Amino acid sequence: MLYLLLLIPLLTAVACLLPLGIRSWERINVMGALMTGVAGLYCSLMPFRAGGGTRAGSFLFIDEFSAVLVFVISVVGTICCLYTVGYLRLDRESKEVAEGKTGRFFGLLHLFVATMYLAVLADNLGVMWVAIEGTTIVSALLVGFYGSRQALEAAWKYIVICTVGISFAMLGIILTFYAASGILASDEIRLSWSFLYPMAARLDPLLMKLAFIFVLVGYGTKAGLFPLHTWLPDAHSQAPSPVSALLSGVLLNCAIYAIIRFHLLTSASAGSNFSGKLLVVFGLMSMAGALPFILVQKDIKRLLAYSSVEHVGIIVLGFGLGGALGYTGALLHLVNHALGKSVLFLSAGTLAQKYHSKLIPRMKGIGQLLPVTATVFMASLLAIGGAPPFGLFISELDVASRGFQAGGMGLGFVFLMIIAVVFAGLIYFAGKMYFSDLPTRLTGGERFSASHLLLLLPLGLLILQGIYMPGSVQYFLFRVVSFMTASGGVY
Amino acid sequence: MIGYLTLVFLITGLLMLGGRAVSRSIALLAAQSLVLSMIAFYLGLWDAKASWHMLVVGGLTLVIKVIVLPWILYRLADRVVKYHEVPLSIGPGLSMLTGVLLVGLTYSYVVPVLLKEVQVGGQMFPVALSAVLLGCFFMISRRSAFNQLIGIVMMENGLFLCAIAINGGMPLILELGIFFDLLVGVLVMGVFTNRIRGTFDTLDTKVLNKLKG
Repeated sequence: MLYLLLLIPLLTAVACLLPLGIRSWERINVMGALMTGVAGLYCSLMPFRAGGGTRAGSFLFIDEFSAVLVFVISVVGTICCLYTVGYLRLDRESKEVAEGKTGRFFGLLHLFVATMYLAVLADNLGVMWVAIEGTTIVSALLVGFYGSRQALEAAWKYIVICTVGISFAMLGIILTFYAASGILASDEIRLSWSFLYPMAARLDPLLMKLAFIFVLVGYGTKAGLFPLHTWLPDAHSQAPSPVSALLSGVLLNCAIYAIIRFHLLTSASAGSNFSGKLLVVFGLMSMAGALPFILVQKDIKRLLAYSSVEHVGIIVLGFGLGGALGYTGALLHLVNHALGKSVLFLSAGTLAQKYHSKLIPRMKGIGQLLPVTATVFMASLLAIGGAPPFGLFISELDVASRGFQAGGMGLGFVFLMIIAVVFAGLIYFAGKMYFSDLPTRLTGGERFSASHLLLLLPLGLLILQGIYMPGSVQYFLFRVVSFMTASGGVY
Repeated sequence: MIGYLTLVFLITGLLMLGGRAVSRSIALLAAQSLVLSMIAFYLGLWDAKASWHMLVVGGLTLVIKVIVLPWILYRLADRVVKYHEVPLSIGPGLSMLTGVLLVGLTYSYVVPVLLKEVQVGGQMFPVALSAVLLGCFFMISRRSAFNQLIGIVMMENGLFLCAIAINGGMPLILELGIFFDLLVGVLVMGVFTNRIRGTFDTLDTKVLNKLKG
């Protein structure tokens, strides 16, 4: 089944790269996206039904933690792929994208999804590295898809910075391999997570600390942690919006996932004090570092990109603080941010297409131009800001409580202040866009369509989760958290 | 024997910092990769501890990094690099001096102090780390997109030697994966340099400065 999950998007990608014509490309894309989504949802339930990690062959492995990521990829990935159909139609109307390139776009999109699935399903930490490097290569092509000067610049910076950054993660993996050489004899399993993790207590703690530093720097570049985030706003703002949504909603999470795997290993070997503290420091830095850029931003997509840096900070902080509360908050926040931010990027992208501009001062009267999309945009902005009744309120509350509990008054206070200021900044910009008059050159109005339904689905999940969490979801969450705290990953 | 080979590996890295002609950089890169594949072959054949798949790695290095990649790079250079000389942000002499300093830093500080937990004897490990740093510096000191591409391959060479020095190579599946990534990565970056050249009419990274804040 896990192999099937990789195979479906791969075959879809190949089919989309064939010269077939627009109608069939769109049909293949929709079919492939739906099938991948269903397979992904099915796979994400596997470890919960089997009562633990399930492996397929010697390469793929799914446990409670990766199941969360598979769930996120399948929901967000499917929605983005489906939304792309309408998005590209608008782009073709305004001659931004040539007709013949549509198939290539769909193909790369599915290839991108496939590499992300591989990254979270790989049992071998090295294969995970290869997959994450693969995501960079594929998504750089998508970032530079428009081929404009800015898009090329963003794509080039993205691929160079991330490739160099991830080289350092390779050094970390080499060191882990070295640390494991004493306890696991065979070459092939020395980097396999499921063999390594039970033995982790016997790994040399000093070596693992060194390895973790390299891994944090390497994958941290990819996750967009603060001083290493420089590629992120460029790539997110220049990419076509469905790609921005995927980058922000899923790709960053895959990099965080890789860091947390090593965090679990390092905590098991050296105690969580070291790696946990590093995560707390980097998390707070990302939150604080993104703040000034959010407040003075003029480009709506860059604004959202910096907000992603802030949210990555919150997630990493939650994982670093650890404990049942910290892990619950971080995991929930990871899912919620992915859902909310992808809706936000998709709706903002459609608005920007209509205005032919991404600049906030030029996007006036969004509520009159596209009533439905603008409402979705405002709602998801409130959600991302952390307002109740959306799920992000709950997850931020969890992380904040854990912050007060484990890090003291100072940490909790700083955390809440940053969130409050960011919220104010987001609402200020959104207010300027919504409560203003439409320029006379544009005429407003739109009908409710299938695309809106796609946007409402994740938003509905967020509201539902903020008001009422079903017992089964609570049980799943409990399973994931107890998987992560099992080996003393408590601060 | 291994000692000599690693020495040559280091020297090619330093020489790359000293020149500005693109063809020279590519030739030196190919030479460095050749040394890398010879190290792998040597270990695979005569070192009792190293496993047989060092031979596979050596062969792959020979085919991909010594033959295919330089061929791609030469063809690309013909098309995209105008005068076959690239703008530098630091002069050749100074950048070679910095390179020597970086090697000194690795030998005197990084390996014995920072990474003292990694107890592997011999020259290979410090040389490998130096090569990673030299590749990094190569990318910074050249203001050309094409040379950033070469710098990345150089870093990758350093990482490979690093894996060999510490662990006697990585699992085969991983080595294959890295080769695949490198090849596809260079192709994609080649496509981008081509498009940057077509759009901006230059490869000088100075022009890539529109996105800020």
